[in-house]
Amino acid sequence: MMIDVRNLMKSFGNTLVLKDVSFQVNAGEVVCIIGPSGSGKSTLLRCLNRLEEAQGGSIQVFDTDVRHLKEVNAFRRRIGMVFQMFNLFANCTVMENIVLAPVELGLMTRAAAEAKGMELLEMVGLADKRDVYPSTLSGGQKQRIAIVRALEMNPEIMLFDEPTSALDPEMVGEVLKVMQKLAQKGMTMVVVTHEMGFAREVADRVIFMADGVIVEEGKPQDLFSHPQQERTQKFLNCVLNPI
Amino acid sequence: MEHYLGLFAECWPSLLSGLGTTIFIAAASLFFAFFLGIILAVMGLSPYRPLQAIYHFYIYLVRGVPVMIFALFLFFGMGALLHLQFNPIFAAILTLTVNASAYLAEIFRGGIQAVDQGQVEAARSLGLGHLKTLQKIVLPQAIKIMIPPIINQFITTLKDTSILSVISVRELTMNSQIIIAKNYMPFEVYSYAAIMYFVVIMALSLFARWVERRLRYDD
Repeated sequence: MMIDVRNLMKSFGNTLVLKDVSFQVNAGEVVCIIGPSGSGKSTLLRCLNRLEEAQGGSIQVFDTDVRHLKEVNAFRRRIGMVFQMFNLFANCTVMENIVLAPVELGLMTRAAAEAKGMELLEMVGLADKRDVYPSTLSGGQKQRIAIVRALEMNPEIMLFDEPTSALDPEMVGEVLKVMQKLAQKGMTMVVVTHEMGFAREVADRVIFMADGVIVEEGKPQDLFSHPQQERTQKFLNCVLNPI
Repeated sequence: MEHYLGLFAECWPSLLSGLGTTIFIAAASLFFAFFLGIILAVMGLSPYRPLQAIYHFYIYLVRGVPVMIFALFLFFGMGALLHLQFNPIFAAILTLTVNASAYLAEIFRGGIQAVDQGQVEAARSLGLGHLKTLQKIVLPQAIKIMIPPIINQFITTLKDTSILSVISVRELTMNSQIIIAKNYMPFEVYSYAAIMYFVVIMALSLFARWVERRLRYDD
């Protein structure tokens, strides 16, 4: 098992945003977390690599106790993360964005890092962008670069925090395709998303969250076609039939 | 016109020596203020509450007291209290150092806080430490944001030196007044001083624009 979260509690000040959340992710599994805004999906994701600190429960990732880590940086190297707002380094070119961490951390020589970066850029179809600055790229291109930057570290798990929510509609597909390719290669992925089509097609399991708890989880065909909980039915009805 | 230029040539040595003092005081003050400002900004950015409190107290104090009052209080007030005669240049540099350090500290703090926090999170999520993130991601972007206001502060401090005539520092404004006391030609002499300030500050502004353009990388 790659991720094992039990009875997780997280609050911001007096607001409890995660109340007793438990779930597991196996190696090679793709898990999508869906749910209304403010339900705690992103916070849950950010607890997994300690961008947020939990206040209760346990989080095990690769048998590491995340809440009592001694070396947070060495731990984070093993988990790639992709953000809603891309968060590319504005002062670095595309290639510098990709090689910065592995080179600075002494994991690879610059030449090896760039060679690997080129391969990954080719995989996402952006080899020609290696020397431009992020500000010249479209949202879809930025997000594909952000995925490459995370993959360059050879992560064992990839976390996606609403990777397509900030994109123009016509660019959503190019990012989802890259993610699908990654899933097919057997990457362990946890994806917070509003893309129900992606969840249905690519996920092995879908988790529905609301108000800081996991309301329901299951295989996508079960959860989308036969949601058991009323809260899930209401949410899916709203999302799948907006008009 | 002949009279105007002739008088200028006559006043030139004294005005030039005043301008030299002006630039020296401004440069020395900004040099010290720069380091003091960095220390202050670190205090202001630290998560440690008492340090933040000291920082804010300092900023509010400096912002709330006019430079002239600070100079007068230091030179005459503290001088009287401690029964000593400050060197005017020392008092001048201390005054402007304290003043500029507060404004520079705010510029440093603001520049660092203006860098997108998401990029910091991205760097941390890749396993980069605090210092590496600061060095490779935050500072390069913060410095770009800070350069124009820093040079603005240089210009302000340079102009503020004219206030120091009240503590008898022989800078450009003081020397102009001394000349006028002798020749009673305020129109001419103050215009010389104005032109000399203007030329120096214009040069600084042009330099600022050049630096800004050189630092541009992505837009």
